[in-house]
Amino acid sequence: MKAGHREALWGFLFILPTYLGFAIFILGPVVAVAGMSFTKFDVLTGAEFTGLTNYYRLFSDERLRNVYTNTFVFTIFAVFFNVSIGLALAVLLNRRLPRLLRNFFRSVYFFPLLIAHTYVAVIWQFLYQRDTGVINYYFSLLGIAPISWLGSAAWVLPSVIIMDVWKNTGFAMIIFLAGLQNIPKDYYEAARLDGAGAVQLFLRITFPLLSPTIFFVLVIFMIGAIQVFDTIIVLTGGGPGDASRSVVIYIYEQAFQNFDLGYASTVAMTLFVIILLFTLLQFWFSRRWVHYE
Amino acid sequence: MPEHSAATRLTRRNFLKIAGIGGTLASAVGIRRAAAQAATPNPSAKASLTIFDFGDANAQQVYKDAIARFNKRYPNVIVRDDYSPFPNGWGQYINNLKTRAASGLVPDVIAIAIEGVRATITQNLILPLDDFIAQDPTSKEYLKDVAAPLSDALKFDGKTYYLTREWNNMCIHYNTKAFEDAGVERPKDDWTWDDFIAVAQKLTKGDAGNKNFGFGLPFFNFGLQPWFNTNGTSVLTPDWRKSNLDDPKALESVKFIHSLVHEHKVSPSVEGTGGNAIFAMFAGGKIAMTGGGHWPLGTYLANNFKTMDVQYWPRKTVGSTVFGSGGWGISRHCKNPELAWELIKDLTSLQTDEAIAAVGAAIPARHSATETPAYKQWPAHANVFYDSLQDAKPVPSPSNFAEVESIFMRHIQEIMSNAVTPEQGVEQAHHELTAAMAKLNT
Repeated sequence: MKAGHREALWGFLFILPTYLGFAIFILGPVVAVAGMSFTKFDVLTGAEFTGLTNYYRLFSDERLRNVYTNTFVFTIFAVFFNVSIGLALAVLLNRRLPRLLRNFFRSVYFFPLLIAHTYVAVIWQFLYQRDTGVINYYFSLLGIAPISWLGSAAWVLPSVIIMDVWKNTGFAMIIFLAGLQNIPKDYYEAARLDGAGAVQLFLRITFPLLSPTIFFVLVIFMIGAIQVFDTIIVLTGGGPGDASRSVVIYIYEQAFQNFDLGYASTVAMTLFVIILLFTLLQFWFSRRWVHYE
Repeated sequence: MPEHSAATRLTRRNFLKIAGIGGTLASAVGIRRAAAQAATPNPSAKASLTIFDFGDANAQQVYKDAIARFNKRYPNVIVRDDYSPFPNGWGQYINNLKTRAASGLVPDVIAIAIEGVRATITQNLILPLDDFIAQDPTSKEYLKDVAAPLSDALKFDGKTYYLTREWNNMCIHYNTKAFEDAGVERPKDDWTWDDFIAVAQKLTKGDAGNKNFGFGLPFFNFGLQPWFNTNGTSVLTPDWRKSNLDDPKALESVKFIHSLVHEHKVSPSVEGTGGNAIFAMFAGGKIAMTGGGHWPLGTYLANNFKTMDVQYWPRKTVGSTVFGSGGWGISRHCKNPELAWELIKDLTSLQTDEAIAAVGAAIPARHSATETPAYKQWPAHANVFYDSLQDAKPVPSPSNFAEVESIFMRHIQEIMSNAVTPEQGVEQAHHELTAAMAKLNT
């Protein structure tokens, strides 16, 4: 065997585990789901080919419209607040602070991410309870009428978003901090000498040089938000009614509650296509505002 | 408990005689499998059995002890007791089992509540136990000790698929200290919904963020059923095949549930009070009454909360409540059904039921276990739990229970959140339930 061929073989061998993992755990299931979406399939009995029946059903499924609306609302606001608050915190903590204070703040903002969703949700359920919750108790001292945080269709999604931002913005902050520390200090010093103010420093130096990191965080958070499941299932169970139910919860319920795996697969395919389109759109749009050094 | 069946005491000659005649008959009527099932397994048999189980830490210890007793009789049988948590209700437990079965990991012994009985039978997961019961002399003593409604609730098409392991119902739990402080006497046994509202209003005190409530609505499927039963109606028709929510009485019950929070304001908003959270609030003194069975008593004791007692559910038109019995069954895929049967005998023994009674878990299946001092000593009217069985109705548990529970609770949530009126919510729930049940019946 020639040296070049041997080298290529070793190269293939090294990347094989990744490709195998992708084929078995990603590509395989996606193909299986695509196949199942054309069937009537109860897990305990065999699959029956039903053509496009499940796809026609999508158009008459009012609940699906609701859960998609919830998912998009959650995605837009959760991504916006997670990324913007995470960025703001990172910029603030990137300033010259006493090391002890800086580490304290970083830990405080990052800490919620370390706690399991279940515990977080139980605590927030107590906080949010309309009649016995802590938040409304303090509101009552200020003369504010109790808010039915988790019990009203209007407030439940904002409540979920607040908890999600509290829990996850620390993750965005840590990534932004890493990105900020890669920006050479000389740029700022030079700009200051030229008379640039704080806003100009941020808009002309920080933002452009941090844009690849911002893009990365946006993509990661957007995909996570569209697939939101655990945050909602443990906090509200999707209720009241369908007011906070996400698409992934709906897929799970169709598949493992109603045991309608065929239709669940069809809905999953729609979600797959939407995430794919959104991500491609983000990559296309990123050419206009993401600057790589 | 006898450790040997009658078959082991037969002489060889008698055995051959009976076997000869019996074998011919068995072939003729096709009960060969029954005869084989009735054989007592060899005590040195080597095998492993897996249990699909539920229960809190106390119950787990009780069943661990029962398994230890089984292992004294069958020391070479390895028993693995797998507990499956289901924080989102019985539907989740049933689905966990179905998912496990679908993946080919069917357990040998299945513990399930009534909510999952039909689902497992219609999915052909469970072996009928009638032949075991008929052939085992110890069954008579067991069945005599278990109230007929508990056993009947676990039957389907006249066959017994599960032996009752324990059961629960819904009664009113009340804080005796809160009653004393408010000068309210123990309600009468036949109190009405109006009496209930009057009592709850007397116990509701404070305002805004510092309010103590007279009642905490148990907001889960099982906990809501008594409001229908005591109004002479139900969510499903008596055969559990159609929606019954077009019954005006069902709407009346839903309106009453809604009024507890929104009109009379005697119960806190329902969000975050599902599952066992309501019992934590009750033990914490935030609410003076709630609805529950015997199962939260262990939690109360663990939190040193003892100032509680129980009373029958208040009635609108009839004295009633809901009950659900749990059972032990043998999987059709079990390779050692005779050993599984022997294990179930230990899991349903009087010793096991007395231990269940002592730890304050569910109500034991055997009546004699509820006559023990450990069971009767607390709360003062502990007899109410068992005595309410005479008027109680089993929780509607069709084979698509998980779907029915999900539809019912989703619409009730919408009604309680005032996103829709009770009339709109009940109509929508009826529409959706009708479609789900029609799918089941085809």
